[in-house]
Amino acid sequence: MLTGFAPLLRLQDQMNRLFEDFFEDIPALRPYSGAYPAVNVWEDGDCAYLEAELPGMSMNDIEVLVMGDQVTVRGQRKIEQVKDASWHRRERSQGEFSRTLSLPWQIEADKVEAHLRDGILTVKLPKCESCKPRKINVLPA
Amino acid sequence: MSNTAIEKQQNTVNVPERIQQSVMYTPLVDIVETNDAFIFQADVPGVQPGDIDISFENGVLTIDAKAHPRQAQNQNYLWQEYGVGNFYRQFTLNTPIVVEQIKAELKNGELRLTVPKAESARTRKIQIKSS
Repeated sequence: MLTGFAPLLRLQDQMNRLFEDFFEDIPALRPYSGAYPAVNVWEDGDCAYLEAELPGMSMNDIEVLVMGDQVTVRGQRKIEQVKDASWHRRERSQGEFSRTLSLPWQIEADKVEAHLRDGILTVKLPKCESCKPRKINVLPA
Repeated sequence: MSNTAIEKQQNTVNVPERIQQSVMYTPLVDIVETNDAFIFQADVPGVQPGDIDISFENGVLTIDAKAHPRQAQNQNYLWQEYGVGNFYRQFTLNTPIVVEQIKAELKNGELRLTVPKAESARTRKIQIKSS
């Protein structure tokens, strides 16, 4: 009965794939997947920087793991419950989370620094020496 | 003559005043009610203690928090999944409260507001005497 729709569904499928492929190549335009925590990542020549909003957490609640070209932010959020209270609104969620990102280069794991301030986690991820851009002097022939 | 003066005045009133160009975000909020107070807990990551304004006027509680930009405006990102900006949210309270005793604490980007209810609005337990 629904066979008439098959070409349309196929077209939809192809269009979806077209968009996915397109965004895949440009990380900054990749649609936000909804993974927690949301991150902003940028780089200068020597380091990549990862920033995430992790309100209500202390450094004891968060772990940053680095391996190869991957960085993982994981932890647990506990929301303090008020005793003998009734809820009016509950928008924040609690529980465990873990998120892994792959960078386009290897990370110098020994030199990674992580700071947590006012609920903002900032991780400095230095590139390994061999991945840094190097200026090649052109010698006269 | 006088007519033009009035028109001019109206014109100035109709022009919207632009104070500040910035993006506002709505913070996520939990609200609970105990016998004595309402407790608001809001996520305002990146806001420092001096940059938060709490006000109460005509039954409306306003949270206005400023988050300063942490990166240059023209920063290029490899991933950009959230924006940084100010937080703003209002709540209408129908219960009478004690404005002078509103308490606000900010820690790790989490705001906790304790808004005590007025004596008249608290639940009182009535002892039933057996005759």
